[in-house]
Amino acid sequence: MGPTKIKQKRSTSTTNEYLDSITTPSKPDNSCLISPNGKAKDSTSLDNVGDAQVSDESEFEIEDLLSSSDEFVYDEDGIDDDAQVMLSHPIEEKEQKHQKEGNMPDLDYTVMTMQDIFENMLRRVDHLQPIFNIPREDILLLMQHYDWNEERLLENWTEKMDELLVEIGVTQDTGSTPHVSVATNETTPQGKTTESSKRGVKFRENFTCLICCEEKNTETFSLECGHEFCIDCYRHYIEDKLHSGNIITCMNCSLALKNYDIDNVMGHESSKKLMASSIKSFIQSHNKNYKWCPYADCGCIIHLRDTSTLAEYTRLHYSPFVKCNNDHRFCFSCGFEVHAPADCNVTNAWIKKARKESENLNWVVSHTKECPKCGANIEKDGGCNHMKCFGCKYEFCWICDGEWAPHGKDYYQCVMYNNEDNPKKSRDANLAKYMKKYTFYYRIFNEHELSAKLDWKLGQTIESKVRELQEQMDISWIEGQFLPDSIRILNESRTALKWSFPVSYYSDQSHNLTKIFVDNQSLLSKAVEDLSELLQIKDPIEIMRRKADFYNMSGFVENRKFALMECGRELLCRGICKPMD
Amino acid sequence: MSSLCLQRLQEERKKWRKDHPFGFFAKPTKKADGTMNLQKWEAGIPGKEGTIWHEGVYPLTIEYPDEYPSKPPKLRLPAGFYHPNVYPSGTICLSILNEEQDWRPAITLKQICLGIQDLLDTPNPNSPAQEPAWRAFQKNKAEYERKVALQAKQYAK
Repeated sequence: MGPTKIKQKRSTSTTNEYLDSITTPSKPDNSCLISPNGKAKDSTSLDNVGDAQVSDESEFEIEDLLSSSDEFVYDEDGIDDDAQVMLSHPIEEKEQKHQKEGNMPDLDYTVMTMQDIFENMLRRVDHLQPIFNIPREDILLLMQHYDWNEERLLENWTEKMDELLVEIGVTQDTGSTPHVSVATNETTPQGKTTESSKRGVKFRENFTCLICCEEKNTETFSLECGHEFCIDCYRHYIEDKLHSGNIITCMNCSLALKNYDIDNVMGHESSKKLMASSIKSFIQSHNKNYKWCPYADCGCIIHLRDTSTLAEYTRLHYSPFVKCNNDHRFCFSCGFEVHAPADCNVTNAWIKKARKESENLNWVVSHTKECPKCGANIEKDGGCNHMKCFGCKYEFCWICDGEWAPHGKDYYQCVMYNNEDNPKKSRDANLAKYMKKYTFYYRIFNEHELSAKLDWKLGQTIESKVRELQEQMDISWIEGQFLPDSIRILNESRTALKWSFPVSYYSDQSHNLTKIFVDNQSLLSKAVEDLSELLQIKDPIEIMRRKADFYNMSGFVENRKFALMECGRELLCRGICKPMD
Repeated sequence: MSSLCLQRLQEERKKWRKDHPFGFFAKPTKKADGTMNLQKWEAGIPGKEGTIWHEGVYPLTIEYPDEYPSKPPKLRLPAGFYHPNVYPSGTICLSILNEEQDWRPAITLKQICLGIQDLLDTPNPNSPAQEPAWRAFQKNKAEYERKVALQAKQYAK
């Protein structure tokens, strides 16, 4: 989990120390290259960064950094690396095998965070330093100005470097030569002050600031240009500009504030904010290769270097699902959740339709249900579809309202769209008169979504269940992992099942393959319900007694899911399923 | 309104009263209740002597945002003002008034007013804001000058 690590130097509030941390080639990044089957390999190559070239003068810092790395490397998301490794279990391997059989082209992507991207940028800056021969901070400004586009920068650099430095605000117009590159770690604070006595924060008595027009004893800040203003005004000004990601200039001329100036005025983390904004706009402008994880508050960024494989995915009706460091899985193409067996087209068509129709009926139909026997209102608060009315004790299936008894045994009828009229509920009959088919599918879709949410909630409690097993039954942690595994499989299968309904909705109902697909849905539905029921068991002793069932059932569900996905893909490939409005 | 904005505007007013370029005027507007609205000013920009603009004093509205002086004020001439860099709405396109470009918190009212006066006779054909004046300025100088002189009479001192 290299990429989630944030390297940070402690107590780097002074200019020079901060410079050090900027100029130090960071530790080679061991980002994982994850292929779709979830296998992670270590990789040190990233982008065109090259392997952070280690120059002689910076060797010392590297050692310094490595030796004390424990001290300032922390895991942002708290995921234990070892735990991740141990999580790979037989069932996952089976999945890998299946997917290989399906000839899925490999999708090489990297999971990154803003910090990773920023460090990459810093490495690029290190790379450019010998070419440019100016301080790294200045190159950083140039890169920032050129939206991190190295090629364009280099092109313009060779043409008109002096003009460029003035334009960016690195040097003043007055023809003063750019300070000759000094390896920054050699620059002592004293050297800094003699070099440019005007630059920096000072304390002044009875200073009149031209911005706020106050006369006071205050700290002030100015660059080499000598435009001096009080520190409060500068703070206001910088705060306002941080989110833009653009270079921040002097309040009176076009000389640029460097990151250490910003940190000097504002406190240590502020230039990071500016860099983050700048990198955000970089990602925005490269959104073909970079995608944000769409999950709330997840800061992961997926970087797909070679987008040409995406075309192959589309052709074969696969979807390029990716997984971020926080285990969020989503589709790289459409940014939606994992939607197999549906492809992106089906998904988009379905969502568009759902949005269009939701206004008139879907909410009503999908959120409430009456007991089919006594009519009491029933709210579903667990993942299983096996319902029992509190009033009349009638047991029924939440999806089809039919009696439960037949569901438990051989056949699970409720995934079949019944063409015959079913005047069971007057409100359904009214609402769905002209769009009964859609309503039917939408409702099932929604039920599974709801169930998936409840299952997800159940999953949140699973850790405590495992702990209970450990404490009460003296079961080792690793032995208890069949529970979270089963939950994961349940969730994934429920999602697959959910997205199989849009596929059958858009499929030619009379085709034989559609019928096979529906059979597959039935089998998976049945298996998922069984697994869900199994996971409702609360008693630790009972759980351990049925451990084999957990294994068998989740393995079976996984198999069924794969079969359904492949069948759905075939429907799409053969053009039997065609999304339309 | 932030105190910084208010404080600075009060000082701008003080400075302006003490010293402002000849022929210019600028004053804060009055609110409905009679108190002074420092965030909205009315000003008059005289055309430079010796130019086709010299006859007029052009009314300018200056609105200061709460974030002033981090953010520039918004300047407006009357809607439909004939000038290549003035939008049909009257908003003025000038780099020192653009936060992304050359606006600096240190720029004063005096500098802005002089900047506008300057812009009147030296339009920037590279950033057109309206079609008629821009086209005439590029293609038909005589027509342009006639229209400008006419407008100057309309806003005569």
